[in-house]
Amino acid sequence: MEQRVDALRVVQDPAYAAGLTDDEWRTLSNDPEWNLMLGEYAEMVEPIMERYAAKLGVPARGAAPPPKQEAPPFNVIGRPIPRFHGLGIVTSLGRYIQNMRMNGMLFTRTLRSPYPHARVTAVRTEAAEQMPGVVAVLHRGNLPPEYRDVRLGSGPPDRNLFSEEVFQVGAPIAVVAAESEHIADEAIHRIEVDYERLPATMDMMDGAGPFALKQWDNAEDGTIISITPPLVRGDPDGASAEVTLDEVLTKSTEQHLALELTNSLMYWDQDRLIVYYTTQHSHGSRNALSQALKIPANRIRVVQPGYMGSGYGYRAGIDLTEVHSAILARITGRPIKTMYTREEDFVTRTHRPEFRNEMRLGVNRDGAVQFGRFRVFANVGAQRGGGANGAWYGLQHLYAIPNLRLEATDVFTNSFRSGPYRCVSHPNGTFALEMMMERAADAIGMDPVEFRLRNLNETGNIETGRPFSNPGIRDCITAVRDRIDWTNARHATRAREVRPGVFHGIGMAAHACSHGGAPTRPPGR
Amino acid sequence: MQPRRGTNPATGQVIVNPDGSVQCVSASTEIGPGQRTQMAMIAAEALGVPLETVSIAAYVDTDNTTDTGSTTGSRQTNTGGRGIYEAAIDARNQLLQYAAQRLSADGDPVSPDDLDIENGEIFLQSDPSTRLALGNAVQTAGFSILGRAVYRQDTDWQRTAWAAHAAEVEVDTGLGEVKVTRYVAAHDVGRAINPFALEQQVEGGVVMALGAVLGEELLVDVGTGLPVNPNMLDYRALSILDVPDTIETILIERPKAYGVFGAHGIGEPPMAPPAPAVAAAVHNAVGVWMDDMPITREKLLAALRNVR
Repeated sequence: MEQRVDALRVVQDPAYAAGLTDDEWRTLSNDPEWNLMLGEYAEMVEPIMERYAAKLGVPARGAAPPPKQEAPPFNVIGRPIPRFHGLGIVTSLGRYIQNMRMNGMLFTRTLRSPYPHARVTAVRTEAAEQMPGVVAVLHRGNLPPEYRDVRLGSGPPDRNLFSEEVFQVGAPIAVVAAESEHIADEAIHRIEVDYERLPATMDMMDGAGPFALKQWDNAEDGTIISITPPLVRGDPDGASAEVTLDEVLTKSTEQHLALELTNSLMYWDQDRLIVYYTTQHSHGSRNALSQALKIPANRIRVVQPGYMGSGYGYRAGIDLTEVHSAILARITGRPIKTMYTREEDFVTRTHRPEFRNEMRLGVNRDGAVQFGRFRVFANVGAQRGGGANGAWYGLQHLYAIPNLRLEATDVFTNSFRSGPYRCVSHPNGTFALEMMMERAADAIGMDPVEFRLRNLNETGNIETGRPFSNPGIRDCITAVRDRIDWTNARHATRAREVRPGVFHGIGMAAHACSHGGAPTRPPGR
Repeated sequence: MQPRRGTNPATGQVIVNPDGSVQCVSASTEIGPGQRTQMAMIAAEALGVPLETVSIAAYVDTDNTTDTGSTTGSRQTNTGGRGIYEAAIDARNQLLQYAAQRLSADGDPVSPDDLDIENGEIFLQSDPSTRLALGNAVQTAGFSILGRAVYRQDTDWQRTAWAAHAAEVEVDTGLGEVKVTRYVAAHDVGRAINPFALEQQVEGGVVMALGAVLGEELLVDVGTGLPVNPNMLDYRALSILDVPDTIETILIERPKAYGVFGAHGIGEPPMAPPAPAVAAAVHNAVGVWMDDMPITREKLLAALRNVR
C-alpha cells in the first residue's frame, strides 16, 4: 500500500524530510500539494530539493516551477464582465422606442382580417375618415399606385401591402393614422369591409394530404409549399438492424412573448426617411424598406437604440405594418408612431412552427446505430420563413449513422406564419432524434449516456468531408454526466418515490446545431 | 444590393482618439445578449488596452455603420465580434507605425515589429522602459486612428455548436405535474469571452425552452381559424415559481479555428436539449414516453392512465 507523505511537513520538518524513503519521494512527486508548493513557494522547497539531490549524489538543479499549462495570455478575454448598458435595462432609463415621443406625431391602428382565407371585395372608410382626430386612412382603394405591386417575403402566396385575397387571420385590411391611439382604435371599428369567405386549411396533416384545397398554382400537390430533395447516405432502405423503432414525435407552435411589443417611430426629413424600430437587424430593415418604398438605401436611416424588450428572430426584418407607417408618414407629413397590440404581436409576426417527425431508427444490441429514416413536416402557416429541413442538422451530424435518409415537407396552412424563434427547427430535430436515442437505449438495455458516446460523430460532415474544429461534444456529455452524478442518480423507472405518488427521474440529451459559427449553409452542403 | 445570403458580413470600426480612448463602432444590433460588451472586450484584448478605456454605444445607426449581419443565428460573436477584432488589429498596426516614427525621431531607428502594446502603453520589446502612451502615437498621426475591417468568413470548417444537458425532475402522478428540480447544461463555447454573459445566455435559453416543454403552445380554433390564447395570461409562459432552483452551467472551452479568440456563439443552442432531457427524465420517473410537446397536465395524466 502506498504511503501517504505529508508534503507540508516535508518542508517544515527537516528530520522528517531526511527520513523519507525513495518510494516516498516518488509518491511526493505526484502529490498535488507538493507540486503546488514547487510552483508557488519555490524558496520553501529549494532546500529540500538540494537535500534530495545530495542524497542521490547528483547536482541540485534548483526548484524550477513546473512547465505551465498553456494558459492563454489574455488580459480581458475570459473575465466575467457585467454588461455596459445593463443599468439602462434594469432601471428602464435606457431609451426604449416604446417610450419615445415626438412633437406632432400620429398613432396608427390596423384593421385586420378576422378570416383565415377570404377575398376582400369592398372597404368603406368614410365613417372612420369623418371622425375628429382621424388624419388619414390607408387601404387597398387609396394606396398610391407606386406601392400596389409591393410584396414582402417569398410567395406563394404573395403578401401585398393590402392583398385582395388574404390567407391568414390578421392580414391587414386598412390602417388609420390619428391624433391618439384611442381615436385610431375607435376609427378602425367604423370601417366596413365586405369579405367573400373562402375555404381554409387549418390542420397541417390535412394540408399535406391529397384532398387539401389548392389555393394557388403550385408544382406540389395540395397546398404543400415545398418538398426538399431527400438527403441519402448509404442504403437506408436496405440496411437492417436487430431492433427497429418507429415513432411519431410532435411539437406545437410556439410564440416569442417578447416583453416589449413590436413598435416604431418614423418621419420624413425631406426625401429621407428616419426610422426608430425594434429590429434585430437595422441594415436589413433599411434594405427591405428601401425596396418596398423604391428609394435608395442611402435615403433611409434606421436606428435601433440598443434597448429593446428582446427579439428571438421575429424582428429580423420589417413587416407590412412598417411599410404602411412609412407611407402614412409621407402622406401626412408627420411622425408616425406604431405600437402593436399583444394580439397583433402574437398573430401577425412569425412563430416557431408546429412540427411532426416520423422517425424510424435501427440499432443493434451492441449499441451500434445501423440506420435512420427521418421525415419532418413543418406547418409553415400562411408564408414560409423557415421550415422542416432546418431540423436536419442534428439528425445528419450528431451521430455517425451509416445509413440515413432525411426528408422534409413544408405544409401550407391558413395559419400563423413560420419563422425563427431562437432558432427555427433545430430544437425540433434534437427533440425527435434524442427521444429516439432514449427509446433505443431503453430497448437494447444500454445506459443512454454510453449509447450516445458510442455513436458520436466527431469528425465532420460525412457528406462533404468538411471537418469539425475541435469538437467538444464528448466533453459536454461526460461533464453533465459527472456533474449530475449520473451513475448514482439514475435508477430504474418508478424506483424512487420521493413523496407519495411523486417520482424522481433523471434524463439527458445531446445537441448539435449549425448556430454560432457564422457562415450558415443549407443542410447537406 | 442586399448582401448575398449566407455570406455573413463581419465588419466594424475601432477609433483611437488623441486622448488614448478607444471607441468601437458596430452595426451589431443589441437585442439582449450583451454582445456589444463582448465587442469592447475583444477590442481591448486585441489592442492591448484596459477595458475601462474602451467604449461602445448601445445604439446602432445605419447612417454611420456598415452591415455586420443580423442578430440571429447566434452569429454576432463571429460576425460583429470578428469585425471589431479585425478593426482593432488594423488600428493596432497603424498605432505601432506612428509610434515607430515617433520613437525613431528620438534616436535609433525603430520598426513597428520591435514594438508591442500592454496596458494602454506602447513599449520597445528589447527595452520595456522605453514607453509611449497610446494617445501620443495618435497625436503623432495628427488625427484619430481609424481601424476598419471587412472580414470574409472562410468555409473550411463544419462550424457546429455542441451541448449536452441533464435534468432531474419530480413527477406528480396525481396532479400530472412535472417539476424540474435540478438542471445541468454543458456547452462547448470554444472560448469563453465573457463567462458571466455566457452563463446568462445558457440560463435564459434553458428557462425559455422549459416554458415550451411544460406549457407554451399557441392554439388556433380549427373552425374559425382564430387564435385561442393570443395574450400573456392564456399563453402560459413559466413564472419564477416554475423554474429550477438552480441551472448549473458548464462551459467547455475547445477553441475553434474559425472563431474570434477561438469562440463559438451561444444564443440559440441552449434552446434545444431541454425538451428531450426533461422527457427522458419523465420516462425514468414514471415510465411513460411524452412524444408530443408541450408536456401538459392532460397529456401526462392520459399517458399515466394508459400504463396502469
